Amino acid sequence: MALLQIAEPGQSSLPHQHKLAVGIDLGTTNSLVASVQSGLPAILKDMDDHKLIPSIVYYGKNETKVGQEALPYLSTDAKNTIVSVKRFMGHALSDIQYRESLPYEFNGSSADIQIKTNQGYKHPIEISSDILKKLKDTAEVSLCGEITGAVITVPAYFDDAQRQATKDAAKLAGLNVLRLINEPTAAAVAYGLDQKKEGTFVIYDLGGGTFDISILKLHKGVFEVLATNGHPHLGGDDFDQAIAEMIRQENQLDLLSHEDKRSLITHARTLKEKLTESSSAKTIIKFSSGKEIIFSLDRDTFFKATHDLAQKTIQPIRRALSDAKLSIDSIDGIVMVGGATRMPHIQSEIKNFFKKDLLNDLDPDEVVALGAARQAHTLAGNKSDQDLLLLDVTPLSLGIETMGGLVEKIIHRNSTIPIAKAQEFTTYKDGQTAMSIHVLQGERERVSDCRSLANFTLTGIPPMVAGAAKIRVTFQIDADGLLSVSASELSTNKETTMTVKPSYGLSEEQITNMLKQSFEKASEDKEIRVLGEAKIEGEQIIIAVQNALDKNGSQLLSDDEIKKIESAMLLLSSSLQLDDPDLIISHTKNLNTLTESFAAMLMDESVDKALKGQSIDKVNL
Amino acid sequence: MSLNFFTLLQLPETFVIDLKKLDQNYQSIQKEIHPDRFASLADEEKKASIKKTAEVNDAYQTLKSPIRRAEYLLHLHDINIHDEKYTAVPQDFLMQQMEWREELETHKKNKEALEKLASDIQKNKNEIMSQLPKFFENKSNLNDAIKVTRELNFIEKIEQHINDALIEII
Repeated sequence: MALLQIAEPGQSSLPHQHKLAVGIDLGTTNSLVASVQSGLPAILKDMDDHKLIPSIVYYGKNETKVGQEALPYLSTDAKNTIVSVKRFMGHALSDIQYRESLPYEFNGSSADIQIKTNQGYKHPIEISSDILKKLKDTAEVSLCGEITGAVITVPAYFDDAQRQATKDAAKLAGLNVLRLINEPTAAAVAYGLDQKKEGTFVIYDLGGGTFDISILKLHKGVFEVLATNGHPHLGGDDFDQAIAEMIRQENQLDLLSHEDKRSLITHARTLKEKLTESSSAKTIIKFSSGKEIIFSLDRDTFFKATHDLAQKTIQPIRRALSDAKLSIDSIDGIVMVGGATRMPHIQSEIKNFFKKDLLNDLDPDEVVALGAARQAHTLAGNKSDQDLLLLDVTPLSLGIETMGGLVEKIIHRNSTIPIAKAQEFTTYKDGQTAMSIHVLQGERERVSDCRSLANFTLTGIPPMVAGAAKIRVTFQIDADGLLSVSASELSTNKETTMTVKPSYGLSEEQITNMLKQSFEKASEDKEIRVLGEAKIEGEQIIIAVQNALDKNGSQLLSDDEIKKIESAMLLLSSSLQLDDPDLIISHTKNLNTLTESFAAMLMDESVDKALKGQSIDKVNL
Repeated sequence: MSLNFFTLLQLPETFVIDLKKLDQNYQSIQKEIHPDRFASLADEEKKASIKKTAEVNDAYQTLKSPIRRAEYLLHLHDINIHDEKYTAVPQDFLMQQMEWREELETHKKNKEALEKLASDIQKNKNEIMSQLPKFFENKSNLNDAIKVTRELNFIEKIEQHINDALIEII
């Protein structure tokens, strides 16, 4: 059992009974924050009663505005008003298509994406963190308390670089990330728990800028993802673009200012939304030159013009079904998620494909945040009536470069995470002491067709004849879907661990610097909070370790080991009397390290305990 | 040291296993040790949980698939079927393989033909698969187990290629 879980409810004197945790849907066009209150998840509204917070950030000379407040600047200062930043997350500048058509000024001398604003260059991670800060503030005002942790949703089809970027943005916003979870999985949680659905479900999630399809088996609180697929750049935005293009062509609007382009898109979106309710729609667009045009559009024309976009979602569905080894008949229901699924032709396309009615019981804009809030509530350690277990998968295969520019797959797509796979390598030259490894993500066979995640060099291999060294490299994907790599030389047992940092994300140093800057602005409250948190964590771990020792210590540990742990506990508990957070943190860390192998042993004990009473099956013997 | 996958999931070390039991044991263990149970706890416990869960996931995926399970049983006998010394494939199977591949190439855009091919191969696969249990019953039959497992590996690959081709057809 977990060290902490061993503590019986009555034994521990934990100061906070109910921990405030939120679920955040960080969307391409809109973001939401939700929380579980009196057992039910609810979207938290901002002061003006809005549930949807537009994912827009305006950088003025002396002010930053996020959400609704940033909206007006779209049509007056497009260059400093960043929209759809999610599309840039985890990407290099060279990945951005149609750069010229965007209103932003990029830093051309950087491989990273950096957008020039009134406040200097902004990295997509910083821009996202400003959105997250706004959501955090909204939640703290609404809940009248401090947020202890957050679950942030990401598209299931996000790769490692995009996930890492999202996590970095959260760190920068001062959020404690309990878990990154996939958007369709979060939606399934909301449906499975709130609507009590059981069976095999397809979650069709068409958001503002991303498309995901996940197939899940829901059974007694276990949510098992069987397969996932998607399209990294396909969403409601593309339908707006298509309408804007129609308006431009019909009216021969060639030279438009960036502000006019933005307003064209805003009008296009309004038209699209109107066509959900009525069969035709009309809008009047006023340009900065004073020119005015009237544009009307009927459903049929719109559907025909965007039929290809709708069709693009079919291929990923087929792939997911094939990977899950399921036919259409074995699907019990299709859940529609994301605002873009409101479009009638998307609905009829999917209904036709599955030959089944669609599930629309929950608001497609809210369902992801609601599911994330459920998960956040449980992960924060709050008691929950349901026994919830999410078994998610990795969307893309992971491999390494081999001879001839080919990729050898090590972890296959749709493997349940966490997962770890080891691969052994050897040297090909006498006396070789270093070796480079290129890690890639993707399904294609050639290196050039896959996403390069990291290129690193293993050094310190003891010199031997060619082929004698045995280097074991372990690739591990954790529950957030993030990769880490460790390597050890087997004959000498030398271990090195590295976390894979994509080459165009922020370095650890950059993040630390940004964090420092934001800390400097913060008041003394922060220090008091840090001390308070350190003390709570220290107290908790002492209780947990003491309990674990009382229960299993003498069975699993030697007297010497117990003595060492006890003296570390003593040091920690005496440091709790002093108001020095660094000292407490360092003693806590020390005790944690000392109990590492004890924790592993207890994990094995839990496996045994889980299966106790279930003797080896008689039928098979 | 990692445990034997069968021991870890508390199943007898045989080719024929109770799949329901496998699912049950897997989920019972996951409920105890999954990282979600440790999200608000200390780092060392999170690490230990990820490591153990990854091991259990690997064990589960391996035992769930009959082909992976067969490979793993052979691995427990120190046999790696991808090793060079087992590369020889019987002539008739090789011919069959080539026939299938040719058919796939000729009918790459023909949905009905591909579906027919897939169902033929499926039949063939089931037949081969049905021999596996008896080859694993007796140690002296391990060479047959190797042969059949290798054949199944080939079949699995061509099935994947047919599936990929089918997905491309709209």
